[in-house]
Amino acid sequence: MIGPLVRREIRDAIRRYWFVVNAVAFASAGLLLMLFGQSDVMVLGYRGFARSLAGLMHLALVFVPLMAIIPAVVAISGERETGTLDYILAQPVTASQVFASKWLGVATAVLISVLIGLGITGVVALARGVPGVLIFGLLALSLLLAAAFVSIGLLVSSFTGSRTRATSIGLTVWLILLGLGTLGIMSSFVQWGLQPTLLQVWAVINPIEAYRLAGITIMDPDATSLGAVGQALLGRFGQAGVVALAGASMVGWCVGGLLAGKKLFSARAL
Amino acid sequence: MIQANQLTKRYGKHTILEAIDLEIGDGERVAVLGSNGAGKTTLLKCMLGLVGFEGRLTIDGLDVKSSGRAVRQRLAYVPQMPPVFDLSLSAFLDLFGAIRDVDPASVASRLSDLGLALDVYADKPMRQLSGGMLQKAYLALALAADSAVLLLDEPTAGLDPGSRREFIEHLADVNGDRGMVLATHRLEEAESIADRLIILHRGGIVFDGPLDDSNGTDARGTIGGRELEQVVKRFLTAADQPAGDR
Repeated sequence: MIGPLVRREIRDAIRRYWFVVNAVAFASAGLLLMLFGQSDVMVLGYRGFARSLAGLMHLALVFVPLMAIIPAVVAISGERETGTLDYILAQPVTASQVFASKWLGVATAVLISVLIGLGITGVVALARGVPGVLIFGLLALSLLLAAAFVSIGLLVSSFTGSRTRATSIGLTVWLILLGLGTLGIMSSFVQWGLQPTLLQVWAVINPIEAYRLAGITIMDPDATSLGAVGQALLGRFGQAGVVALAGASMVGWCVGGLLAGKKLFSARAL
Repeated sequence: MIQANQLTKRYGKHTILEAIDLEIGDGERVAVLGSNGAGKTTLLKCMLGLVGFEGRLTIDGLDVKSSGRAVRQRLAYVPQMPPVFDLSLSAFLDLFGAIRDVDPASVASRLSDLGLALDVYADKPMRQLSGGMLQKAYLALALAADSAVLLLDEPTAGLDPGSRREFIEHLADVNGDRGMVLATHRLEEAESIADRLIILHRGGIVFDGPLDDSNGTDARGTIGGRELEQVVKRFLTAADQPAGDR
């Protein structure tokens, strides 16, 4: 009985404006970067297409989590607010099935949106001679990042009762993972002299940092722009190890968020 | 059969239902009467497994806590305030018809019986439908579903008197084999539909008996020949009075 619910979630998501707006905005920004970003001048350690792709990656690490977390945080809380969730749960379905349908519906719409946004840019990049393996690598990482943030968003949505509250919490989580968390840890590091490994752990468990680590490692084997933390990780685990760790981190958030959200949602539903 | 043993529901420090013992037989039509906040909606939500509770509650021998999905297959629910989905009427009926494995033609036929032509309103977004139309859509789905018991939570709350009368007439005509639990605070609705009356007051059952002769018993003993209306009035108007004043 999960099929009709999933179909409804996908239809709902596609029908709403955010799906198209996100895809178009992401594609436009990516195309601008691709068309005007290429140069043979070395800037920040990147040259030519690598520089353009790095720009695209930094655009994606801000954009993709936001594209995923906003629709996810309102997916359950919004239905709780309008009273429609109770009616769905009054049907012969389990809370786990309802939660799974939410995840599948939101994730499908978000992943299609990312795929369109990044895909259009990728086609242009391919035409301009950027190696396909880099483009597909970036696309795969971006889809993984999006799936992780859908899970995080639904986890937040599973225990919140209003769209406003869920959106506030979702945006706070996004900001912390995007940079505030790193700044906080760095200032604590300076203030209390914490172990440098804390920053390395944070860089791996934070899905946005993990995405950045893996992206730079794939695109730039010299990893000149990784920074001290990334260099330390690279020295310790090697290129393949860093990419595997970062990938595992995003998969972990995706699966962990999904399971924790399902548990909270089921507990709250009954 | 619906069976509740020591059913208790608390929200924080507030006890909504306290140690309810209840048995509703197959095909029985029961009206649960009570003032606002008496615990009627909570009782129905417990039956549907929408809220957690203490005690034991079974439907046809199935535990609501552990077999929620199977329990809900046996129950069809019409909520008090029909929630408005971001769907057209036909998409709404298709969605929930598919979940309950209900023949779409059967839903359309029930809807037509209730005076709502699906071919006219099919593409209308639910938010553009009146409360009465929405309530009819929810009732049509519930009637078309293959469920043993209808759970109706003040289904006429948002309707005008004419629509309310029409709605109750339809419910009274429902196939006699089907059980019904109607939460309401209107005695006339209970009398039209139910053959047994339960009065909930401050989370407890204060009256439980047949509607035809009002020979049920209240918390202190047999009510006997006392007029049913007086009994109901006593409990419905007592809500705001301190216990010692009654």
